[in-house]
Amino acid sequence: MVQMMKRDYMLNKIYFFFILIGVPILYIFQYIPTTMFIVMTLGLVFNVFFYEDRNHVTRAIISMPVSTSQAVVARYIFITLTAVCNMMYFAASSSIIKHYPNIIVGNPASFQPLTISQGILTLHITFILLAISLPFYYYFQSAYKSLIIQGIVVFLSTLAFIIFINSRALGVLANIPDWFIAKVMFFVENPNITIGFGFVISIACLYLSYIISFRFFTKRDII
Amino acid sequence: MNIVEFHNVAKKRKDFSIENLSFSIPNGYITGFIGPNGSGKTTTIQMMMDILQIDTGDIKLFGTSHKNYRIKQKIGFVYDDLYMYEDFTIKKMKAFIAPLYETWNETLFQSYLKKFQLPFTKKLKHFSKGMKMKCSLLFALSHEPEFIIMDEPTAGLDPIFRRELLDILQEMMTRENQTIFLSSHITNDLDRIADYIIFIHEGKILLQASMEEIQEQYHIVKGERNLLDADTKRLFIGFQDSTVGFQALYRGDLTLFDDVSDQLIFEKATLEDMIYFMTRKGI
Repeated sequence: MVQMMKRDYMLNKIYFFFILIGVPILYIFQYIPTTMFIVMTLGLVFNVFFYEDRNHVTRAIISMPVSTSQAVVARYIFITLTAVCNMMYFAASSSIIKHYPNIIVGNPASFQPLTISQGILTLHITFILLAISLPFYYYFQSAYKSLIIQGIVVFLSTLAFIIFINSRALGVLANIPDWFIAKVMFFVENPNITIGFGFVISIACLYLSYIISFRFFTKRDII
Repeated sequence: MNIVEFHNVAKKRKDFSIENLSFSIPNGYITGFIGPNGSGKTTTIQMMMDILQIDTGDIKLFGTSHKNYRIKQKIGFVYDDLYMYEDFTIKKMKAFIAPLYETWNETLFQSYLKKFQLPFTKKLKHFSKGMKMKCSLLFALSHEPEFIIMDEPTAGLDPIFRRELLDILQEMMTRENQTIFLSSHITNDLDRIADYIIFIHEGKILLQASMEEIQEQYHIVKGERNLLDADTKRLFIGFQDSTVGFQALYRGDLTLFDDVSDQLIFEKATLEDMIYFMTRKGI
């Protein structure tokens, strides 16, 4: 399993280089790094599968003494570990740059460093999006096809969430019971509680996602 | 003992299907897997390696299920292309692959690397077809596998390296318990080195026999057209009829033709003859 993770690292050295350089630049220019974090992590998913699809490497992997469950687990661990490390790097970059306001482009007073709760919440959202996305890659075995589906799913789920939050103001989804909206709004307004629940939910989603991906990987023909 | 056993394996694909495929690969020999393009050779190999899922039936490798990943420690594979990350170099590939095999032999790897004259730090995407095949072979052989599976390894290779490859394979056969399964439609290669032949056509096994048996039993019979009538046609596995005469593939004892032997020419059938006539019943 370590070998599989090492392989993903070797393939994505350039990605890590861009993260290393890119994240401080994003903070200096005061872009919205938390959104960028999600994009970068989902981008990593595309990257690892793209390299594999381009040369049908899965055929070779399956022919080697590597268990299919380990191959799938290794990829899940690699991506989630990378996401956690990236988030730590985002946090570190943010707190370092906060101490050097003269390098910030624009108004330094408007600079918003990443808070711990913001970081953890972003990680949970990313994990849930990863859990939704990864099985598509194992099902379609095409990085481009999966990226399109992934894009559609992420867009629709974000849209649904925004509509839901603003359902009353927009005058839609009038049939949703008040208690349900109140429950959801409770989590939106209490990030600390959401973080606790978020951890359990995101890990559960990743586990379920792994089960589905493993099934696709072992029951479908390798293209 | 058999290294591989297929028992009534079936697989349906979009425009191709394999039904009731049963054959075995004996231990300690080179088995050639022949058949025209699109006959099911690659599909069979991919099912054996668990790349393609079988619909029904059973495949055994080393007496255990082909899904057992541990048995792949004993298997070296060379496919029709190098399925590896094209941005990798041989150095990176080795860093990834070598630790996966318990029997990795670094000295052997270095000697093949030198023998094949492959660049250690050049990206695979800059390799020629021949270099890719050599690279595939390098990794297939360096862990000293007991069983080597090769899918069209000589396709696209220059004649010099093709001959070298066959020499390497023959050299390997001096090792105890070494088994090679080689699929090819270039039958000349197999005429030279194979001990057993499995012939597949349209997803069905038409023949499984030793080379000795094939050389003794199968003959090409040539003669004038007037000797070919409905009765004689039935004697042949396949025949080709033209204005200058006929030629046909015959299996069995040639004494049957003793009465007309002065009017016929008999030759030993090559594997190419067999593919040709067994896939064409009569032209």
